[in-house]
Amino acid sequence: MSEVSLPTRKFQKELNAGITSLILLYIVEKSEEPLYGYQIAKKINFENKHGFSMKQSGLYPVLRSLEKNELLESSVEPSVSGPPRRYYCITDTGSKALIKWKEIWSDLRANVDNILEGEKND
Amino acid sequence: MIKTIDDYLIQLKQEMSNCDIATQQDALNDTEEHLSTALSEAFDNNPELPKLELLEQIINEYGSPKETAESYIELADKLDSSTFMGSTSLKAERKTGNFFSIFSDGKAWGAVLYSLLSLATGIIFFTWAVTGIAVSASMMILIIGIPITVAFFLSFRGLSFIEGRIVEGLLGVRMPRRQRYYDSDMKWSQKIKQLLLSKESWFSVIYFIIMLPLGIIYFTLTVTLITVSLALMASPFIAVFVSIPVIDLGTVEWGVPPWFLPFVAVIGFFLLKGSLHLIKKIGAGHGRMAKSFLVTKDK
Repeated sequence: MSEVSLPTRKFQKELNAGITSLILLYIVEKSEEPLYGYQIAKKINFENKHGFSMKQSGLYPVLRSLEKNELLESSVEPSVSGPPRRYYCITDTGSKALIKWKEIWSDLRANVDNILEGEKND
Repeated sequence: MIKTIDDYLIQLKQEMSNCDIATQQDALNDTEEHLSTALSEAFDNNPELPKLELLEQIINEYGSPKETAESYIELADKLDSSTFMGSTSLKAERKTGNFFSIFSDGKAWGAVLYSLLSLATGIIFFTWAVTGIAVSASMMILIIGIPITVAFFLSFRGLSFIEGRIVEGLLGVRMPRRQRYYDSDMKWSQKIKQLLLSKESWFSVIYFIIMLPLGIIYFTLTVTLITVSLALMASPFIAVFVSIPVIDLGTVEWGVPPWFLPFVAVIGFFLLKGSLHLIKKIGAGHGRMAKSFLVTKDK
């Protein structure tokens, strides 16, 4: 992986902060059954080959934060092969929030694209 | 150099040494869950590759102990300042000023609710702990004593986990979010030994035993203070309908003069305010104590 400068890393980190919550909510909602952290992490790697710069360990605190805000709920189930796993599923509040967040994201993306493309055309 | 998952966990713990114990446990639990699952899957898919190499790849994607620690520390800071019941006190103070803030302080009312519940939970915990220890000790001479003892000690961990959730929910003190587990490579005899000899199990038992007297004290204090405060506050209104003397010696009756009744209500109000402050402080103290007994540092 090529070296990323400190300001770029900071920019990526700040940008990821909100988007991660959106992506996690979406992945958990889309799934028909509750998912545990590793399954979610694998889906993010699969769906975001380009540009989503974040270590997998960063997902777990966000999952806990979403749970604390009652957007996700979790239950701990024993696992045959190792320590128990925490399974997450979305709450009604989470589903409603996700609809709103998708709208916000869509508007924001369109606005940013407009600005950046406008700049190109200038 | 990280050669095993345990090495990673040790480094992660060092990186988080200044952090809250409960957050440390969250991070350790999540990390062990992730690394174990990832390693087991990677090994199933590539049995020819050495585990060390697989672990290196997994850690590269998961993040170094330092990176993991940073993400949890950031989260803990955010949660402390935004989501716990205690945080409402700050908002409440800004809204209504310092004087009335205690009445809209979630932490104070959480502590009141905890104190009222503590009589019931104290009796349950005490009875269960004493029964468990007594039955286990008396059955130890028989072979059946071992499973009974193990069952009781497991139930103590379950109860301490539930108490942790109650303490976190009502008193706003961060407690572990998950029950402890054992290394999958451990033999059964080692697991039983660890369960029976661990500091965590015995501290839970001590906590359950002292919860009975504490529960009685908290409950009595809370009910008495709040009842007396409310009674004093209501006295001017009640006096309109019923005349109840303060001193009644049969022949001599002495009641509060009517002009003094509003002052009695004011005294009641201040007593209620003071009581809420006191109960909140007791709740905070109890939360710290519960944490020191139920969240131990041995991993």
